[in-house]
Amino acid sequence: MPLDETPFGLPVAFDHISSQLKALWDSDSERTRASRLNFVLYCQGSDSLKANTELISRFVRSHACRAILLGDCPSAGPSKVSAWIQAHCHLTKAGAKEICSEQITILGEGLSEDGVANALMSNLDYDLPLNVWWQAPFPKLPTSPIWARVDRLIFDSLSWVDPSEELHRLDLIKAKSNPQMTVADINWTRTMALRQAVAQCFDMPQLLAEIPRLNRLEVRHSPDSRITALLLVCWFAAQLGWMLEHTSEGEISFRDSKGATVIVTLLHSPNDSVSGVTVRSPDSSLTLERTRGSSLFLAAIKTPAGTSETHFPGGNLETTALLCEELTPGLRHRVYQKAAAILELLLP
Amino acid sequence: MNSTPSQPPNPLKEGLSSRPLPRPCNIVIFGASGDLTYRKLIPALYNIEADGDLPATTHVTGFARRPKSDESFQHELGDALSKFSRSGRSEEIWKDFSSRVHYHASEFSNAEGYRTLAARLDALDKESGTAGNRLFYLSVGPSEFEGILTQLGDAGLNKTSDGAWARVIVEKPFGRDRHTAHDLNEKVSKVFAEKDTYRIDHYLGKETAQNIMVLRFANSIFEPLWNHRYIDHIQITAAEPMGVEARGPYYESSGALRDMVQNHLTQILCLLTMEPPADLSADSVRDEKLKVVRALRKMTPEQVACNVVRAQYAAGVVDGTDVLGYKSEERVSPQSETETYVAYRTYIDNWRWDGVPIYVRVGKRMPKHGTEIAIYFKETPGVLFNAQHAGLGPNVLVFRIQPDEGLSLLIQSKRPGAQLAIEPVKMDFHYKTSFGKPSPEAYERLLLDAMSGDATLFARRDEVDAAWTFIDCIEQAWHNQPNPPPMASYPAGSWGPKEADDLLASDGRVWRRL
Repeated sequence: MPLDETPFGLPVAFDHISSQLKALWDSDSERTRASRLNFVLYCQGSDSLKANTELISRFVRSHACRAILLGDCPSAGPSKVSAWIQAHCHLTKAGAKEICSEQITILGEGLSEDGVANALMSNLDYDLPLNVWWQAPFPKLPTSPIWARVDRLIFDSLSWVDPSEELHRLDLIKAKSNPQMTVADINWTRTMALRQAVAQCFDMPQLLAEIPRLNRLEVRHSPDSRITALLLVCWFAAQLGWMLEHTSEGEISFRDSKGATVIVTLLHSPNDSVSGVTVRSPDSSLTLERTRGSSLFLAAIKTPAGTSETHFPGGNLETTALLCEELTPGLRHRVYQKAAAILELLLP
Repeated sequence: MNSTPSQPPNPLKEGLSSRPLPRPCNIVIFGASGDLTYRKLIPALYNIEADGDLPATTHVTGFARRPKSDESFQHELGDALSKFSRSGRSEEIWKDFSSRVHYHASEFSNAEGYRTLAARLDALDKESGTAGNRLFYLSVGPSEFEGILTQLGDAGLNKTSDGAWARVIVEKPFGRDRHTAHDLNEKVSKVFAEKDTYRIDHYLGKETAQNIMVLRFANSIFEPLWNHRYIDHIQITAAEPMGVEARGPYYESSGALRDMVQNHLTQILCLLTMEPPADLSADSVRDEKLKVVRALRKMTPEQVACNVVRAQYAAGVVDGTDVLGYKSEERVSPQSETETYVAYRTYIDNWRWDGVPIYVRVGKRMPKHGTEIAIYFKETPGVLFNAQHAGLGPNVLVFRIQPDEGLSLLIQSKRPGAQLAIEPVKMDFHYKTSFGKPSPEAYERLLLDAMSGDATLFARRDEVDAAWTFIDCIEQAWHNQPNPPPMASYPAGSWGPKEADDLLASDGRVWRRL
């Protein structure tokens, strides 16, 4: 049986997905099916199905999974579901084995919220954790039973049209969800390399001693990455105990734990995402800058003891890499919750 | 964890990592011109840097006898890095990293060399703010340990300012018997406190070795079965096709038992059989490992003759190539009595493992490379299926430590069809299949741990001492008794001598095929 007849694989009847998948694997004994999680990618419309299929094919190289791509198309007519199955295979490093993950693509037209939930839940791989990337505005009222089943809810706040409303809806989902559900913002991960580099620089005793005296923060970002820049600002505020004092379009002021003012400025930059940050005290400064095309941040540190420069990994801003990073277990989401609480205060 | 804060905590690091973060420090590698530095240590440090985990102010100083400039040392390391780094070499990262790599030429016994080293490290501390934190890596033969440690102490390099730390990493072999290990421990302890002494065993840095504890204590299904009531026996195998290569003189003074069993395999055995620790702190884990080593049954010379097989490889064929026998290897005595293979049966005399034989074999010039642990569960009662089908095999749980790290479980299953036929099937977990991300090298994990003050994966003094007590019984039976057990022989490229097969056959068992 050929594995790829359309960009989404082999068309199958919705109620035959399981049996067709089984037939697909039975027909090919040379390949090893691997799966350690369910990865559901929910999007609205059919336009992004192809790009998301390409993303999944890259993602499964490091995260063997059952991927379910669901395109949800509103329709006035009767509901209709189309489905396809395909395998994404790659050779292991040694080249000895071909490892495959399976993708189910579902295009739902005119489905109710319960219909979407049913389409997903009837195709999950038993017992494996459920990771959902919600590539659409969150529902106003999260009534779908799927929310109680999600182990990790992934989203990208960079794509939000109304961040304040989305944060509110996210709170509603969290209230309905499994209490253990992890919230994973791809946009937060975009700032991770920068946060790590900043934190590493503050290991230097001369800079560490300046933390109580920090009074200015500048963040340079591309015009469409304001929300990413704000997340970085919120990280500083959450970690250093700054309290919001005042916010305007170009400037934000916080009070530190001793009551002194910290001024934050957001500056546009021609480079991608958040490309640089400068943090200052009266006597010292740290500037981290990613130049266009470089994979590294250059850190320039000035203290009364002298100046120095060093490089740090700049992280990978490619979506697959960010997604893979998000699925690595860790403690960073606790910090995200603190930062997101401050973000809600900063948003109009 | 044994972290000793050298400065106030950095609030910006909170939540960035789920593991203790390393502190900025100066790392000094003694024996910097050796293979380990080029193949493992520098690539490990470089990869830590490339992953963004190496504090930016950390400096590395190589200490060795040969005169060399910083630049030529950096150049040589750069060449080696291209060959041995798992992540390749990025010029920008290497430029940064190598600018913090230095070379200090001195004889190990030259006090002046240590005084100038101290001055150099003080200057680096001032320049980069490493706060006086120092990590000394003794990548040298054991005969050099004492001299280096004494000189470090005399130069005051073991002493630290307020809140800073000075730690030493010691490579195996840590002694060649209990007596010499005790002497070495005494010498180390005069210079470094036990909490600052890190005896490295790179096997414990491997993913599967670390996964032994996770599998046992993060899953509820295994621990109830993990005892003499359900486990029939355990087999541990460490096989390698390589001979002694250029290590003839070292190997002649060591042998398979000292080289592999006293450290690597005993550590693995401890993780496999220890009681659950009270918590995951270094000392809680090491307390439990120590109890296992102390409970290993000590053998009399007569018991050694019955339970231990030693052998040397003879000429044979490995990987399609004719190879020499051990006694014909370069710089090996033609009358050598050093074992290149050892197999033994041992018992852990405690409540949990009463009567469960543990078979261990390790050898050079084996047909293939592989280290694994196989847990053989007891067979089902001789009724029902076991009555109808003679020779239903046991369930076997296998930990593959290297290569192709992973786990497998052998279970019995009905073969499809009207006839009742039962066959074993294997459920297999491969790290590379399930987790596409490559595992970090063992040395990366262990160096990070040492910089972070986490000694969980390093051997403590009393563990080493207890392991030697077990090993010494065997060595003494071989070398200090009037009628020692004979040295067996096996052709290179085979799975060891017939005597080793007979050892298991006497219990009605066979070695696992790798």
